[in-house]
Amino acid sequence: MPVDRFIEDEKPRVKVDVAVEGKTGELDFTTLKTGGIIKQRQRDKFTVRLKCPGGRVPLSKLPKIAEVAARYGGDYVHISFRQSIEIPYVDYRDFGKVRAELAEVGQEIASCGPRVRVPTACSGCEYNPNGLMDTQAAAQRICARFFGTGKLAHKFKISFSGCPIDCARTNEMDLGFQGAVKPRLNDATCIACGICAHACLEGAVETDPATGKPVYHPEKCLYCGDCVRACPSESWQAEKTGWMVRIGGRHGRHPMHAPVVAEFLPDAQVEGVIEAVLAWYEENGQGAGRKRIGQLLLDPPTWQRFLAHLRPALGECAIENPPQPRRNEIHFRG
Amino acid sequence: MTFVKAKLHLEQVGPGQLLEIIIKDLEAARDLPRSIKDEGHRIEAVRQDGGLYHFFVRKSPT
Repeated sequence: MPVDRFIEDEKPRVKVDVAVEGKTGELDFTTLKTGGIIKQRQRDKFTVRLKCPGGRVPLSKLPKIAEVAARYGGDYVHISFRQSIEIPYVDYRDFGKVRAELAEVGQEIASCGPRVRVPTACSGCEYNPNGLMDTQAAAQRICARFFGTGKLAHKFKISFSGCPIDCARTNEMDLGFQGAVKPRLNDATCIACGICAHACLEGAVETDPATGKPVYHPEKCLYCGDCVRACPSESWQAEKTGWMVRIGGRHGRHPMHAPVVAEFLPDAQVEGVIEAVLAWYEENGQGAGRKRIGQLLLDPPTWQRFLAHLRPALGECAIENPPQPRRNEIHFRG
Repeated sequence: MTFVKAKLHLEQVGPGQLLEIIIKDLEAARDLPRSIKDEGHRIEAVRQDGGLYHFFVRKSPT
């Protein structure tokens, strides 16, 4: 591995001209990182991470972001894996100016650390033909309400996917919401054209050879709504639309898979679910060390207690006996 | 592509008129109804004839 001669291990803190996490003066790198300012390998240089909920950046902000990046950063910006613009190569002496100039267009710096992170989201139903739920509206709303909150044991990531293709990888989040639609057939108006059986990629809709009408197998259905969209006679209708809720996932060195704990959760209940999960994590993560919520939920009695706590927030959308979060090791064979 | 061709043909008929669209691509058969409905037209009937799909589309009155 090449040795970077600019790595600075002699100076663990720098004097900054902005308040980070309510602290001022000489700040250590961990505090700065918690405030969204991340130490680089290069001497005195930091990456500044911007707050871009759902990966959506209004055009009204882009010119100023580019201007700030050109003036104080390197010759590019980086799009983080969680959809945020990052400005690398910012000198710590410029933090105050960077923050003030970004604030002119309402652009904030994101935070890292043990708290609710900026939610990620796909483009959702606004213009994506597959979208079933408004992921962008949800991401903006949830960011405004929950970003940076919580006295948590570790980071807490939320994402929103508009459909079962799950581009926002809700199964790898501490808490994930994925759009779904439950289809229902109006047999009286069905014209037995067979299009829905072709449209269904899961074999959940088959054509009855005797009548030409569809036969629905709910156990194979992903609730994607392809049958509803394809039906020429509007005989397939959405019985209900909402969020599949997944809890306890993570990626990183030891990924975990988040199981579905609720189906077709109405959008209006999302805040209540997040509140309930965060309250439980705050209380039960205390003294547990640096543990994600999924790690705590690996213990079967803890999982049961967690479900009992969460059930009122999920209401009738709760799934009976959902499987626990499970490890999804990717680095070890055998 | 199928929808683009269908759209071009739909542009050539008057509002409220019926157009028969025959397609042999099953993938297109999956996506075409959605696109046609999104444009405000109505699919009045669909007939399967071997490997072909016949869509009878009533063009939007406006």
